[in-house]
Amino acid sequence: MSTVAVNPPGRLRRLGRRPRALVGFVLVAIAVFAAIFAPWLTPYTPVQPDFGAMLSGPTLAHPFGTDDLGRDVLTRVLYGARVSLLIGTVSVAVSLIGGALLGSVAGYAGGWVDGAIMRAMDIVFAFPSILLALGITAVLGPSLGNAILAIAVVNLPVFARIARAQTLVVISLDFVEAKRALGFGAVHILTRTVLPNIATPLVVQGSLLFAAAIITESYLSFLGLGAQPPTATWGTMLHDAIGFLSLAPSLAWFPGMAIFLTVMGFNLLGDAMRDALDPRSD
Amino acid sequence: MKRRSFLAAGAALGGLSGLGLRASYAAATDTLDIAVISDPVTLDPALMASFFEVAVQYNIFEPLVHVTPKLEAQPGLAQFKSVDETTYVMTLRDGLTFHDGTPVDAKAVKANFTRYMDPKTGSPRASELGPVKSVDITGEKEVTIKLSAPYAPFLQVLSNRAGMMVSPAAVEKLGADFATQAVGAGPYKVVSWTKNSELVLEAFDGYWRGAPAFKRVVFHPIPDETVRLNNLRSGTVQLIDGVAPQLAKQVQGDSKLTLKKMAGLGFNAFSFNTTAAPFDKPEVRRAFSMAIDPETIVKAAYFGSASPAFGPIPPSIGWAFDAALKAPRNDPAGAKAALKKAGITTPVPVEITVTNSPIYVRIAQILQAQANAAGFQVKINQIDATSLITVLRKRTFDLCMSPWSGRSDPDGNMYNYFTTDGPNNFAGWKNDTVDGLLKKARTETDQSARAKLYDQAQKEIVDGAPMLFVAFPETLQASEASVDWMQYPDGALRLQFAKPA
Repeated sequence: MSTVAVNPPGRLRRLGRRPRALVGFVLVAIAVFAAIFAPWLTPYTPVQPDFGAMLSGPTLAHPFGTDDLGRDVLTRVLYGARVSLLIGTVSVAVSLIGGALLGSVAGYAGGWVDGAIMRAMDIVFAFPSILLALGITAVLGPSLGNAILAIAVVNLPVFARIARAQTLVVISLDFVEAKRALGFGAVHILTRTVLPNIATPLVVQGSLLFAAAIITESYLSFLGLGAQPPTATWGTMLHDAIGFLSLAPSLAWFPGMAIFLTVMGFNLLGDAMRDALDPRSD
Repeated sequence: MKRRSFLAAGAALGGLSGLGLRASYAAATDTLDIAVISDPVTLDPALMASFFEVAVQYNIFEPLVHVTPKLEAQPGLAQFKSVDETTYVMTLRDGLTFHDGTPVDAKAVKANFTRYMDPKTGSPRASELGPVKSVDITGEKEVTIKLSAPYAPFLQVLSNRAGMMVSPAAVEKLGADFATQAVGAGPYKVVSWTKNSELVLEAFDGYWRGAPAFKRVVFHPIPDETVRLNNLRSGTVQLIDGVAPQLAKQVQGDSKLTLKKMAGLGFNAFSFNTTAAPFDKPEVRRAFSMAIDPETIVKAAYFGSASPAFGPIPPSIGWAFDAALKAPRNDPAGAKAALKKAGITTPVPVEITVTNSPIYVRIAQILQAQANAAGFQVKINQIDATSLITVLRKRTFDLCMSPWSGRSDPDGNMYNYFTTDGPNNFAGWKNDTVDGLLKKARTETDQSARAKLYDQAQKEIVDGAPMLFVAFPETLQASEASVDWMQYPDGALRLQFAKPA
C-alpha cells in the first residue's frame, strides 16, 4: 500500500512492446504530425471559400471533397487537429496543474482547508460535465479560449481528488516525516517532495482526459459554443455538416473519423501508460 | 400506415398529446400535423411583433380584408368601400360570430380598433393604424373609418394583423391569458397551447367560409431544418415551413412529397450601425457593400432559391419593384480603393452578428471572405435567436442580420426601417429626404406615382447604405403529396383552403 510510484526506466520501455500501445502511439503521432505540418501538407487554406467548387465529392484535387463553401475538407481536417490538440494540451495542463496544487494543499494541510477545497471540488464534480461546460461557455460567450477554460474547470476536481489521495499516502511516509523533523517548511515539502511523488498517476489520468477534452470540444463546437467560424475544428465541421447529411455525408464522415481515431489513440496510449506505470501491475 | 402508428403512439401516451383514446383511426386523415420553425411568441394579434406568428396567425384570426396569394385585396370578414380618399366603409358579413359565440358586429370592430390604438395596449398595430382618425358605428354591421390623410397601404394593413378581429368579450374575461387562449373569428379555434411543444387547433364550425376540411391542426415547433424535413419524411408531420434551400431539390425529387416555392415578400439584409465607428462613415458602409457579391450568396447560401437584392422592395411586389436598381457590388479592389480614398487605415476590424442558424452562419462566412479581401478584418459573432432583437434595439453591433418577412405593401418593407423614428431603424440612420419620400408615399394614392416615390427613396438608400441588402429569399414549404394546400408569398398558412388531396 505504501509504495510510492516511481519510474523505473524499464517500465516506459515496456510500453513499446504492447500492440495496443503501439496503435495508440501511431494514431496520436499522426494527429500530432498533421497538426504541426498542416500548412505544408496541403496547398489550400482552411478558411478561404471557393464558390466555384462547392460540395464536390472526393476528387484528385480534393481527396476528401469540399464543404458547402467550397473549402477543402482534408485541409480543414488537418488544421482541425491543431485546434483539438491545442485544446487537449492546454485544458489538461491547466486542470492538471491546478488540480495538483489544490489537491496536494488540501491533503497536506487537512482540517478546514481540506474541507473547503474538496467540498468546492465536490460541487464542481456534482454537475454533469457537459452541462457545466455548456453553462460556462454560455455565460462567458462562445470562443475557443472559453471552451478551453470550461473543459479545464470540468476536469479540475478529477485531478484534485487524485492529487489529494496520493498526497495523503505520501505524507505519511517516513522520509516526509524526516523532512518535517528537520524543520523544512510546508512549501518546500510540498514542492520538492510531495508533488514529484504524486505526478505519475496525474499524468496517466491526464492522457485519458486529453481524449475526453477533445470530445468535449467537439460537443461545444457542435453546439456553436466552441471555436467560431471560419476556424476549422472537427466539432464545427460536424456542426456545419448536419444540413448536408443527405447530400454530402462525407462532410460529417471525415471529421467524425478524425475525432474517433484521435480519441481512440489517446485512450489506448493512456491505458497502456497506466498499465506500464502502475506499480501494482507488477 | 405510418400516420396510424403515430396516432396509436399518441394514444398510448394518454392525454399527454391531447389525442386521447377516442381519437379513432377514422379521424387520422382529419388531423394535420405541421412543423414550424419556432413557437409563436404570443397569440394576441395586438402584441404580435415577430415572424414566428406568421405561420399560425391566419388560422385563428380572420382579418377584415382578405388577400389572395397575388396580394389582391378581397372582402374578408367585411365588404369594403372607399367613399373618398380618407373614408372607408366596412360592412360585415351576416351571422358572423367569434369562437366564443359572441357576434362579430360593428361594436366589436370598433372595440378592436380602439384596443389596437390605445397607447396602454402598447401594440405595434398603433403605428400601422397611425392615420386612422375615427371609427364610427354607422349601422349594426357597418363601421365608417375616417383617416387624417390618404393612406395608400390601408387595405393591405387591414389584411394583416391590424385587421384581425378578436372577441372583445374574451379579451375582457381572459385578461393577460388572452395571449395564450386567443379567441378570434378565423377557421380554427385554440384548443390548447403547450409552449415549445404543440399548439392544437380545432375546426370552427361557425367559420364564414364553412368549417375547414381538416378538423384538427397541430403546430409543432421544430427549429432544426434537417429535423423538420426528417419529420415530414417519416410522416410524423404532413406539412413543414422553412425547407432548407440545399434540400429543396431532394424534396422535389421525392414523389411522396410536394415542394412549393414562391417569391417571398421579405428581404434578407444586414443593418450597419451608423451611430458608431467604423460604419458611421457612409464611405465605409459603401466600401463594405461594394466588396460583397449578392450573386454568390444566392448561389452558395440559398442554392438558387433567392434572387439578389439591392434594395428593400422585392420583385413579388411587381408594381413597386425597381428592376433597374443597382449598386456597385462584387468589386473588392474598388472597395479597397474607396477605403483608401476616404483615408481609412486598413484593415478595418468589424464584427458581423448573426444568429447561430446554419444559413446565417454560412452567409456571414461569405461576407467575411469577401470583405476581408477588400481590407476589412471580419469577426463573426454568433448569438441565439432570442437575443437578436435585443442586440438590434440596443445597437450593440457593427453589422447585424436584420431579415424581414415582408409585407404585401412596399410601405411595410420601408417605413419601419428607413424613417428616422421607425421601430426597425436598427441602423440608427437619419435621412430627411427619405423620411419625406416615405411619408409622401403613404398619402399618395396613385399607384404609379407611389412607385416613383419608392424608386427615389430606394436610390437614396443605396447611396446612404444604412443596410446591406443581400437577397430576396423564396418561400420554401413542403407537404406530403396527399395534402392539398395553398401557399402564400409570406409563408403564412391559411388552412381553411387545405384539404386531403
